Amino acid sequence: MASPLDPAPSVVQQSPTVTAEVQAKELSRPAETKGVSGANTNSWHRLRDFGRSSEVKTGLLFLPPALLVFTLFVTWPVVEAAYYSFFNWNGYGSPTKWVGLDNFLRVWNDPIFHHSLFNNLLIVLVSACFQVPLALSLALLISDKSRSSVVFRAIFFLPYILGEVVAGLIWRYMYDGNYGVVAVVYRWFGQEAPEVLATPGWATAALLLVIVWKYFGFHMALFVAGRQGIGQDVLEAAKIDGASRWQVTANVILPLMRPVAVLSLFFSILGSLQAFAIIVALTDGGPSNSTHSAVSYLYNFGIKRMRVGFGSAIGVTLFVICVLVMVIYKRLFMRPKEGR
Amino acid sequence: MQSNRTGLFVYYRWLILLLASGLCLLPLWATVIGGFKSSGDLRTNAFGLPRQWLVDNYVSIATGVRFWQMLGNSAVIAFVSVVLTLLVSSMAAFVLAHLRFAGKRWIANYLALGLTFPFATAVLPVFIRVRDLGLLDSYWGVILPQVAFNLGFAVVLLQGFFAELPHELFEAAFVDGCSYPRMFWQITIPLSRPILATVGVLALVGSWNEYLLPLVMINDQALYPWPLGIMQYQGEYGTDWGKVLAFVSLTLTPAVIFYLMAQKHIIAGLTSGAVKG
Repeated sequence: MASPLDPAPSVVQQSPTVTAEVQAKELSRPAETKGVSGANTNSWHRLRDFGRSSEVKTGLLFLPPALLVFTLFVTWPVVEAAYYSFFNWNGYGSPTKWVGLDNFLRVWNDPIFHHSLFNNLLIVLVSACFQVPLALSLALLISDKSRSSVVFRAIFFLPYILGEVVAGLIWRYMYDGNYGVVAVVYRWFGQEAPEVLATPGWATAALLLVIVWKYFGFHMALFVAGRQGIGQDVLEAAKIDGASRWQVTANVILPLMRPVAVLSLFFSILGSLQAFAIIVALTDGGPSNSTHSAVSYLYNFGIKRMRVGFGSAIGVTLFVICVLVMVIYKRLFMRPKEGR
Repeated sequence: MQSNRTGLFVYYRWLILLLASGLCLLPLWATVIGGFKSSGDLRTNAFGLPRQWLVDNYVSIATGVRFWQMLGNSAVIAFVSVVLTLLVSSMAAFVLAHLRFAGKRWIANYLALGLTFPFATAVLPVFIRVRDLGLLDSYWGVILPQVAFNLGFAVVLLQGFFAELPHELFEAAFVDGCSYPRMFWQITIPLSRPILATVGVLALVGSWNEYLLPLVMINDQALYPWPLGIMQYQGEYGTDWGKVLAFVSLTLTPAVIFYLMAQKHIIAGLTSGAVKG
């Protein structure tokens, strides 16, 4: 079969599957291929200038669907949210009742909103102090290629693929003071179980546990990938220098895993800012609005009641928080190398 | 000494891992097994096997229309959403990776904006847009916003991969008079299967489990995807946990089967996609 550097027409005209496989194999050595391609880049660009008109046509055919859909359903709605947030509007007709910053002031002064943001913060804190270390330690135990490790990885990742709604409902049952698993455990000790999900404070703790249960496997998979990316030579060198298993872990592996931990926490923050369905299924924000997240607050007080202006003000506030948090986090932790 | 220590390490490793797996799987076990139990049995015997296996809960759900209808709705929405995401984003990524024109960077950054904020922030205007387009209570009302919000990560991932493909292939094709659309279909797409699979898995899992979007867009119960259907079912039967658990168990079956079949690819797809995106 032709080498990938052969300008063979077969690449295009013959069965694409067979040639593709060969090409794909060659692709797995990007460094070498690139070295050769560097010399040819100029001629490739010169050649392409002849095809300018075809290029324009392709661009006009290929780009608009993405731009149109994206603008219509992502960017323009954000702009609209900013506009609607200055009105008192129920969504019908067109917004006419200008209220200035009223909606924003009401959101910012609402204790329930503060509490919701506090819950978002709690999720991040629990993730940083508990979930990420747990995921990291488990990952270090099962990042090798043995069969048992593969099986354990599959088990730990399983809760992550379940829908949030499913996770919420399963745990609603687990926590049920009458039927659930918690109730059974209490009865072993001869006591009646408390209604965990009906007690503020306990309900929040219960929610945090469910979040750890559902998402630690994802963080673990990130760490496993990171651990497998550490070169064998580094570890061998440490061993030859007489480092013990513990020393290798503490002084070689952990420092090298720092970028993964940064990324892992980044996803915790992202996930916390999106937490919604799991809360609806588990507590629906109750008892007495103590377990809302920012998004479930938005749903309950903006969308459910079709208060478009108020809801948009929440949305805009959330948008600003998201962008700020991400920019700051990236500046603080992700600058070297991976600051993309 | 050394081997003794290693022996101890292996012992503790297994102990910790088995304990963690137990805690991880216990809720799932209790759920699946709970669907076979009577109320009394559930109250006193949450972990153990049922004293008497009741299959009624499972059978009545699996033979009913409702369960299959909602799985069907979810499947249609997820399928169309994944196909459209792959098509639209790979076409855009092809242009951004291979063609040179003014403002290209600008467009790439514009599409990457989709990565910076969650869908929920703009959900009210999106609802009004969908309503004004007359797409409420239709699959499209869920699919189109879903595809739009997938574009951010999809284009970033695909563009990065496409740009790494060797120039020589395109040069050779160009010399032979191959058009750009044809290069796209016959070179780029076949060579990009791994990244297309990654994007596809991310889009599929996201769409299958999506709750907020259909909750806002769909009122008609005949069109409910499973996350809405299951919440409604729970609302109807409340703490008749035997029924609810059976329903939950049956809805998570397709996802678990899919996961067990392609476990390696799914873990790799979801994590590597997340890392690069």
